[in-house]
Amino acid sequence: MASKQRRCWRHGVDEDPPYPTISAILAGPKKQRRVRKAIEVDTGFSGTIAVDEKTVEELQLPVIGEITVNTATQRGTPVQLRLVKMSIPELRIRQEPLAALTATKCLLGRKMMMDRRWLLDNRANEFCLLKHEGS
Amino acid sequence: MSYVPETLRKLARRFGATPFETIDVEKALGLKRSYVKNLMGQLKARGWITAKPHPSTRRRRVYAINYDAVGEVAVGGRLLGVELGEYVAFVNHRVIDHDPDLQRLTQRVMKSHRPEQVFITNMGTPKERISIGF
Repeated sequence: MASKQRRCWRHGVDEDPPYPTISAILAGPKKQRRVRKAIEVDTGFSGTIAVDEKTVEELQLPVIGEITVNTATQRGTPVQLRLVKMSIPELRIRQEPLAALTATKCLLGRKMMMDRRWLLDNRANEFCLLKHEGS
Repeated sequence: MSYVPETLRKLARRFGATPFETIDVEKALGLKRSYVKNLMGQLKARGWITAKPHPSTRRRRVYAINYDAVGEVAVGGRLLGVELGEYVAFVNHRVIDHDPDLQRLTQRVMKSHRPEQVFITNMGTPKERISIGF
């Protein structure tokens, strides 16, 4: 089925090589604290979202738990969970409360990518959501 | 995973907070009566289930998962080798909900509780164990 529409986000270029991103609005429990970020898409991350310490402080995200995760080099690493509300209108996500892992950078993982078609265009430096007729 | 915690995990998924009898477990898990009686004995001995007389006949027992005891075990779960294999939510040191999906659990719990009341963790290794590339 041919692609009819696209919504594309520019790659992050502060690293080399550039990395795919999606623009999201993150908010803390206090509604006046919100920020729009181009968040790195990481297919090596099987979860939904991770937030860095800067975002945690900026939005005053509360701790809601701790889980163990597997990293590339270690099993069962404890990681704090923070409550964040995320909006990505293009994915029909609006003010969704999520348990975010605390990490060294903000990431969107594979769980966020599920059940959708994507195009990673490393020539145009764009990451695109593909919309098809009837979908 | 030891078969006793594995049974607890299956019972939690199947019955949640609803009381059940041995015949329900036989049907749900497809096990023989004698084996189920043995399992119930082991779960009861660990305090993970409670037993009460059936309201209409004293010859039958009604069981329920003791989430208080399971919750206490969860805190030191890895030490005790408990493997529920799910994410669990505590409020006031009691398990109030559990789910194999972290975000589904979070969204459900946050509808009725404030963030500072809740502590979410994994009890054992969830099927959807999160891995991160760095």
